[in-house]
Amino acid sequence: MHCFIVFIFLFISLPSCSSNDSAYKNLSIEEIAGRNTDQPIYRAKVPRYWIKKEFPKNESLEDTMKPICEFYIKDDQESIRISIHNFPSNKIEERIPPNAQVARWKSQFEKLDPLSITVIPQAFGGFAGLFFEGTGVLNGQEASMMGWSMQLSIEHYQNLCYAALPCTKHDLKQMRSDYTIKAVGTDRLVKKHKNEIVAFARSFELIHEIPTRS
Amino acid sequence: MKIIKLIYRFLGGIQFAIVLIASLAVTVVIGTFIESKTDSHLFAARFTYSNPLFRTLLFGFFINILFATLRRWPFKIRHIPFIITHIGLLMILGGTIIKSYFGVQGSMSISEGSGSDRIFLADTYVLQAEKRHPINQHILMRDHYVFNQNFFGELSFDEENGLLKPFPELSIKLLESYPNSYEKIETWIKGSQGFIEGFPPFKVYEIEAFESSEKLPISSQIHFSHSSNRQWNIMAFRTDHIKDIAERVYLQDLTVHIKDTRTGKSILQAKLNKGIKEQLKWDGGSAHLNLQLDFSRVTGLDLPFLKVYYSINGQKQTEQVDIALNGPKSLLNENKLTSYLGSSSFTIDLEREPVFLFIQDLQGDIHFFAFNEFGEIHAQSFRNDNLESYVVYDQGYGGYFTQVKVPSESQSRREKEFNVLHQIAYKMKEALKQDPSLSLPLLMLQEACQKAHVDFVNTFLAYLYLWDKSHSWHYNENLSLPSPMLEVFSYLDLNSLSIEEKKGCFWNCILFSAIENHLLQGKNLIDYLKKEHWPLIDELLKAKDSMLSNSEQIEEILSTLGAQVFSIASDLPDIEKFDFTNIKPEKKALLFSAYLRAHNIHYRNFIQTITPKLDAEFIVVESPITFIRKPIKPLNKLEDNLPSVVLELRSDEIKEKVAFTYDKFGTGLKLPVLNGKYLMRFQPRFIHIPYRIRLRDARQINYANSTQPYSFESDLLISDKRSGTSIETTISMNHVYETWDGYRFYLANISPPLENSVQRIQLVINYDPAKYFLTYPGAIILSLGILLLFWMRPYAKK
Repeated sequence: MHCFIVFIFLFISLPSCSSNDSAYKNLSIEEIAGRNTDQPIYRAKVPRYWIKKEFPKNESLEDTMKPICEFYIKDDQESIRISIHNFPSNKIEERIPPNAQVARWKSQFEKLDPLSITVIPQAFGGFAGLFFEGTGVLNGQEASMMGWSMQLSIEHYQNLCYAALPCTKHDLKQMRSDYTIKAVGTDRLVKKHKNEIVAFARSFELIHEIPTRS
Repeated sequence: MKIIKLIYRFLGGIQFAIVLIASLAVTVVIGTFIESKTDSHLFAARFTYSNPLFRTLLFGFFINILFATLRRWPFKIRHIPFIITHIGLLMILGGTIIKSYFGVQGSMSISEGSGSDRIFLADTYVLQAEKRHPINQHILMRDHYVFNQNFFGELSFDEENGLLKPFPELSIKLLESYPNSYEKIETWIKGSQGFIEGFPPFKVYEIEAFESSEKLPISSQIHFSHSSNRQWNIMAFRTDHIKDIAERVYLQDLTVHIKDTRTGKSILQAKLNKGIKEQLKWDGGSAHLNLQLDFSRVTGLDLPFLKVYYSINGQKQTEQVDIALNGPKSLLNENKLTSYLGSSSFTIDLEREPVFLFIQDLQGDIHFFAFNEFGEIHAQSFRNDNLESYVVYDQGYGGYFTQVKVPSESQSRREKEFNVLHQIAYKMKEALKQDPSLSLPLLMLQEACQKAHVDFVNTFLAYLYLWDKSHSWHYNENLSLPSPMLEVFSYLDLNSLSIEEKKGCFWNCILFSAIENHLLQGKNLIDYLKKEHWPLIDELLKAKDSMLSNSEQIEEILSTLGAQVFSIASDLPDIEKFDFTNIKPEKKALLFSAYLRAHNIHYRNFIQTITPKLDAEFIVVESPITFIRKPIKPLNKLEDNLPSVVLELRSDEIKEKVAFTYDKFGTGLKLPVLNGKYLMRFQPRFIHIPYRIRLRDARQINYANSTQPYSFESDLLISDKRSGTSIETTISMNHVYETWDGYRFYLANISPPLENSVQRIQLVINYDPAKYFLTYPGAIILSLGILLLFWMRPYAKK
C-alpha cells in the first residue's frame, strides 16, 4: 500500500518538472537612447560585467558616424569594443542597404582573410538584415569583427510613420532607423565571447512594441 | 411519486448508461467516417462534436453518473472508492461541459517586433465595420455584426442587431449568401474596358488570332498637364500573346535615325521594322538591327536591347552597338567591338509616338508597357492574385489603387550624354575646390583656358567628348574643333613639354594612325606588331588577358604600347624640325590627346564612374482596385470553402448593395462603403484575451551541419494585462506555454522559416477555464478512486 502511495506521488509530481525558461540571471536590461534624445529607444540584455560608455548629454550625436552607445569587454590587457549606431531616415528609399554596410566593414580591413568571412541573413525583433564576421588586419593590428546591419521591414517602417505612440516625431524617426552593432577585438577574445555578443545582439530590440494595422 | 422513483432509478441505472455509451459510440463512428470521407474535421464536427446533440449526451452522462452515485444513499465506508471515482468523473464531465460553453480556441498571428492580444475564432462569421468619430477623426469606432450559421452551414443575419450597435444609423440586410465563392482582384482592365483614374474608360480589344500585318488599333489618347505637354496613345488588348503584341506595338510607327557620329550629320531615316527584317543601306555602309524584347509572365521584361550591326564600306572590321531600352543607361550607344576607338562610327536614335500599352492575359493578369517618344521601355506587371503593392487613400476610406510611375521628362540620348557630362563636371569642380592640384596635361590645358577666358572644366570635358566621338584612339585631326576650343588649343603650349614627351606624343600619333588602319581592316594587332618587329612584343603579350573581350584586350595592348613608346622616346628618331607651336589647333588637339593617353586620361575612364541620373519627376497613373466574386460549388472539405454574402447597406439617405467574400484570417483589405463613410470586412470573430503577446524572435533550429529543420522556436514576452506582470518564455513545437488560469499557447507555424526577412508566427491559443479546478483535479480523484476500488480492505481477496 505504501509503495503505491509513493508511486502515485511520483506519478503526480514527475510531469510538473519542467525546464526553467529563464537563463538570464547574470544579465541586466540596458536601455539605450537614440540620437539627440533622452528618451530610451532600444533595450538589450547585457552581461553585468560589460562596461557601458555613456556619452555626455550635451554632446550632439547628429553625426551618424558617432555611435549612440558603446560597450567594452575587458580581459587582461585586451578588450572588445561593441558600438551601436543608428541611421535615421525620412523616407524608406533613403535607407542604406545592409550589404552596403557589410561592404564598408570589409573595406575597413587592410587585410581580410577570405576564409574567415561569414555573411548570413538575420531577422529578429522586427528587423532584418545581415550578419558579418571576419578576421584580418585592422588599423595595423590583427583583429576580428562581428557586425549586424539591420533594418525594419517595409510594413513596420510604414506603421511607425503613422503610429499613435506616446512619442515625439523625432523619437518615432529614431525608432524607424536602421541600426548596426559592431564588435571589434582580437581574434582570441572575440572567439571567447562570441556567444555572449551574439546573445546581446539578438536581444537588441525597440522598447515600444511596433504597432500593426488590424 | 412512483413515477419520480422510476425516473430516478432509470436516470441512475445501467440501461441509461448503456444507451448513452452506445449513442456516444455511434456519434464517434459517424464523425470518424465523415472525416475520413471528406477530409474535413469541420464537416465531421458539425454533425458530431459541435452538434447540440453531443452536448446533450454529455449532460446525459453527467445526470447518469450523479444519479448513480446518489442512489447509493445512505453512504457507507465501503462506498468510498465508488463515490470518489464518480466524483472524479463528474468533475471531468463538468469541466468538459464548462469548456464547451466558455472555453475558447483561436489563433493569433504576430510578426517579430510587434504584439497582439486578439485571437480570431475560426469558422465564425462577422461583418466588421468601422468608421471615424464624427468630431475627433483620429478615433476609430469599430464593432462587428454577427452572422449565425445553421446545421447546414447557411448564414443568417439578425437585422435587429443593428439597433444595439454603435452605428444605429446603419441598417444591414442580408440579401444572399453562398457557402463557397471565388474572388479576384481587378486593376486596370475590368470587363471590356480599361480604366485610368481621372480619364474616360477606354476600349480593350480581344486578340485571338495573330495577324502580323494588321496595324493594332489605338483605344484612346490622354494628355497630361505637364511641362512637356505630351500626348500619350492608349492601347489595350486581351490576349495570351503578350510578348508578340508588345513587340508589335513597340515597332509600330517607330523610326530609327542613323547619324554620322563625327559630324552629327543624318545619314538615314527608316522604320525600325525594316531594319530588323532587311538591311538598311546607305552610301557609306549598311546596318542590320535586332530587337531583344524578352518577356516572361513570371519575371516580366528582361533588359530590352536593340543591337545594331554595322558594315562600313572600305572597312573589314564590322561594328556592333548595343542600345539598352530601359534603365539608367538606356538609349546610350555602347560600342562593343571597337570600343578602344571610343564611340562607334554611327549613332542611332529612335523616335515614336509615346504609348501606354495594357495587355490582359487569359489569367486576368495585367502587363503594362510604356514606350516614350525616344523608344525607351518601362514595364510592370500586375498579378491579380498577388499584387506587389497598392496605394491606400485616406487609410482605406478613399479606396485602394494600383499605380504606375513613368518618368515625365524623357531624355533623348544626347540629353543623357550631356547629363553625364554635367555630373562629371560637377564632381570635378567639387574635387578641385578640395584639392586644386592637377596632373601636368590638365595644368597645361587649364593655362590655355585661362588665356582664352573660358571655363577649364567644361572645355576639358567637351574636348574629351568630342575626342570620343571622333572614333579614334587619338583625337582625329580631320575633325574641326568648335570655336571656343579652337582658341583654347591655339593657346595650348606644347613646347613646354620635354623633348622625350614631345617625341612620345609625336611618334605615338604616327604609329597609332597606322595601327588603326590595320585594325579597321580586321587584321590581328599582335601579328602586325610582330611583322613590324616591334621590340617589346613580349610585354604586350603579357598584357593580353583572356578574361577580357577582344575589344578590351586590344585596348589593354594599345595602352601598353602607348606607354612603351613614351618609355623609349629618347631612343626614337629626332623631331627637331617639327614645329609644335605653329600647327593647326586640330593637330595640337591630336598631339595633346596622345599626352592625355600617356596619363590614362580619356572619356571612357571618366564615364565608367557615372550613371546618368534618372528623372526625379514622374507621371503617375492609377486605377481603382475592385473585386469580382462568383459563387461556386461548395467543397466537401468545408475548411476550404470561402463563403460570401451580399448585403444591402443603408445609412442616412445612401443605400448600397455590396458583396463580401470571407477573409479567413481577417488580414485583407477593408472595403470602403456608403461613399467611404465606413470600412467593412467579412471575417472571423476576433476576441481579446487578458494577455498581450509580443514576439521577439522566431527561428528554425536545424540538425547539426544540415539544413533539415529539427525544431521551430519563438521567444515571447507574455504580459498579463490584469496584473501588469510579464514573463519571457520560449515556445517550440514540443513545448507549449500555459498560464495559471488555463490559457495555452502553441506554436503552429513560422513564416518564412529562414531569416531572410522579418518572420511571422501563428499561435494557437486554447483556453479551458475549468482545467485547473475541475478537469485535472477530477482526473486525479478518478485515478485515486480507481486505485481504492481495487486496494481498499473491504475488496481485498481473503
